[in-house]
Amino acid sequence: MTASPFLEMKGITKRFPGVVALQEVDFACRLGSVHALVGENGAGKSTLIKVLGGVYQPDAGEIRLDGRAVQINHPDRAARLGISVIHQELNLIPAFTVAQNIFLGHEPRGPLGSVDRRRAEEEARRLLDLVGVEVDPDDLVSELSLAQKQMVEIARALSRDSKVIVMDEPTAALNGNEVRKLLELIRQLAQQGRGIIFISHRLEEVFEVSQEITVLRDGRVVATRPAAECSMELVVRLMTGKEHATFRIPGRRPPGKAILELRAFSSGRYFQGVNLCVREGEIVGLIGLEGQGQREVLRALSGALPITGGQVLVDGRPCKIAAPRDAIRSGLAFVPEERKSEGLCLVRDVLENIALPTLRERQLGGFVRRREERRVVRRLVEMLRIQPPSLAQRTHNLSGGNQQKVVIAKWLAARPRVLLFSEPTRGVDVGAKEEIYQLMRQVTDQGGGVLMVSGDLGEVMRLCDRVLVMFEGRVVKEFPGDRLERQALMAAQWGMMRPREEGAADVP
Amino acid sequence: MKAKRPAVRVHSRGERFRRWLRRDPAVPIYLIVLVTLAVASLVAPTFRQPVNLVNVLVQSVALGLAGTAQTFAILAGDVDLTVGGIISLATVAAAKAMADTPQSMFLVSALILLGGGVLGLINGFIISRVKVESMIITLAINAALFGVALHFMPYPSGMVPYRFMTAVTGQVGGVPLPVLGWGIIVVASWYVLNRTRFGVHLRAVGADPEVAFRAGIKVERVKMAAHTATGLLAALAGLFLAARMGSGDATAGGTFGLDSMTATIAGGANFSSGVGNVTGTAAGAFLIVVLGNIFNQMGISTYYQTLFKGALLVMAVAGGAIRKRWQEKK
Ligand SMILES: Nc1ncnc2c1ncn2[C@@H]1O[C@H](COP(=O)(O)OP(=O)(O)OP(=O)(O)O)[C@@H](O)[C@H]1O
Ligand SMILES: [Mg+2]
Repeated sequence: MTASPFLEMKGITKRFPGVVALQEVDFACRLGSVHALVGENGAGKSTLIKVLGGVYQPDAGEIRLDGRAVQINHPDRAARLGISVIHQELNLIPAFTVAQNIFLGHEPRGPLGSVDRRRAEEEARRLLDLVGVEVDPDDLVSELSLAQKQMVEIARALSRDSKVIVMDEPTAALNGNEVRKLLELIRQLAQQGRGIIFISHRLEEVFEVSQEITVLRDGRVVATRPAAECSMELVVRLMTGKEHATFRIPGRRPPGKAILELRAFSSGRYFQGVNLCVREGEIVGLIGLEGQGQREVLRALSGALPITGGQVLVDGRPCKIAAPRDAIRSGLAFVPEERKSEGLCLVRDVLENIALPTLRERQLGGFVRRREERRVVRRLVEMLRIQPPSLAQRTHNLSGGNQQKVVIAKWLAARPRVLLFSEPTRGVDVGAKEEIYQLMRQVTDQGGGVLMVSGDLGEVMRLCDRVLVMFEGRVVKEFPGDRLERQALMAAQWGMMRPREEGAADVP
Repeated sequence: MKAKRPAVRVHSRGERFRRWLRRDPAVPIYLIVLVTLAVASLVAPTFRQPVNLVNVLVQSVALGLAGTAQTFAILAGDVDLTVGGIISLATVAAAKAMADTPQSMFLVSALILLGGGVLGLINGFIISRVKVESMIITLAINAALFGVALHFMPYPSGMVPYRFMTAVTGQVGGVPLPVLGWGIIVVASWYVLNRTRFGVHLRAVGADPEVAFRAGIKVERVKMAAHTATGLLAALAGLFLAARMGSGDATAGGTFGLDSMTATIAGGANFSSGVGNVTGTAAGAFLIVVLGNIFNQMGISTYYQTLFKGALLVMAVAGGAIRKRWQEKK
């Protein structure tokens, strides 16, 4: 083992108006290894790597690279020093091609100041192959799915051939298969002698891939340990001061009458002939591999995708859903997975964002009842533990996870009949996960229903009263909530749905 | 088992054409220009006479140059309303300072271009470093520039040397020099904006300055360079206008700020997406002038022409937004 790590950050302090985001943080990363950075939402993970990437200037502290103190005053400087950062937010230009985005800021040079487009395209193709995503360098980024965009970001980080590669929640938008491929890639990169800094809320991934773990809490380092000496329970306790939970969260009332019923529900090529029903007090999970139509079912119900066939009944009454407005009116609230771009007005404060969809309820002769509004919103902010718990904070300044909570709060405020929830806890920390589960249960305990799509089987198994598996646009299997096993669910997702194979599924 | 197919895709010519149709935001303006020319030729036989067509082209040059100038600013995410003021000031300076010797013509022209560039640089500095809204600050600076121009030349006067006029507005091989010059400027600007690293950075800054910054682009520098190009090209437009009018006029640039914006937006460029190109702007400028020409032939008052230009801007902005939404739907 080398004497001193390649990258060292010492005593890093960063203050924002009213918040100390980092307080004397020490962090180091060795070449040839993966160092995970974990912590609850708002702990300061992204801030730390923004300091490393030259996006923010620290108020105090120093960064050493290979023993030399360096000043990273611009992202370009970081790149030149061999540090590539994949930020938590997507940093792509939608109207540019994939190749242009990958080489943005360091385009291959041709004659007369031009971009050597052929070389950029060839290089881009190689990098895209390396990360294993099937997109063309000449495709526009706006035409890609969220997961593909994330892969393009990863390809971009590799394009500089950096010594240190930082990934801030790169797996949040990926499905199981893609995550596995990415972790494999990370291992390879480390083997090539690079240092990887990996941030994720999914602790399984963290343990699978990293050699060292640093836990941040409230802007301070709580511990840095070799991963081999940690258990998941320990890390969760360090992060939150609470125990790691795996038990089921049952509802308090037996399923009642059907609130949402779909009959032969279809949308073009996305899914066909879907029959399902959500009853009072029920959380129904809709799962499948990426692209089997489960997300589109929710999107069609929310009015974002055209419905081409079948019937939707809410409380037994047929509904016509042609636009989001219709869905809201029918009592369906949709929380999309791309919450930041689809669900927030970033320049407005927390209060306004949460209160917006339900303005009507609290108005009196054209005026908003402010006090009532503050009361409702404050309750939600406390319930979801949004940090900092200030109603006047611009949502732009919140950490990624806390932005998600704001979007969720906004739809909970609408007290919907059926909550349509896509990836309820993606990018949300362990503590807040439990809060969100509790909130979903509150919705059902009060006689509502939840229809959720999730790629996190652990969460599906803990929460759902019934699980439907989709494959190639159709529902192929249904599991009751007391018979949920990971192996069986996975087998069904892969399209192996004959009952005989269920038992055989746990044979490797 | 699904074999992993290589990510190579071969693009046939037809595919490329369809891709261009779908992606180039200037396609609608090209079509509109073609339809307008066709209709005008049908209803007004005088319109399609070569003399008139060449005339319209020459008439379009000043606005075409101003539009090219504006395109740099707009693609960089700003707008530059000083284009009009710079044009006025350039005509005044040319009429006041130029003597009838080649040296003087050359020197004064160079100084005017330099002055335009410096004014643009100052705009860019204030916008990117002091971080003020470009629309507001350039509106204010533009007013100041008009004031200066009016101070030196309260009413149109002065003389641009005759030889300068003939040199600038002459012909080579039947092609009017201004049109040739405009063409060269458009091609050069197209190359800079669409093919160079600087151009890519400029459009990235316009699309999303934060993303550009994080990609290592020096956002302030790029913005200053963009505005410098705008100022320089605006001064060039002014110089050309002085040669055409034969004198200076402090109000000559009056409508160019808004018109250059109209031409650029109608040409498909967009404030915050990084798409758009100068060929679209050229078509936009040409359309504005052609329609003015047609209206003149029909005897429609300039008041209504102003009304019409406003309507065109509204339609261009709305059309761009609708097109964008339509593309996102797919
Ligand atoms: N630009 C900013 N202005 C003001 N406060 C900020 C800004 N950026 C971050 N903060 C605050 O700093 C704290 C740390 O945020 P940071 O984004 O680093 O959290 P994080 O650990 O990445 O959380 P998450 O898991 O939710 O992404 C938060 O309280 C956040 O609100
Ligand atoms: Mg973060």
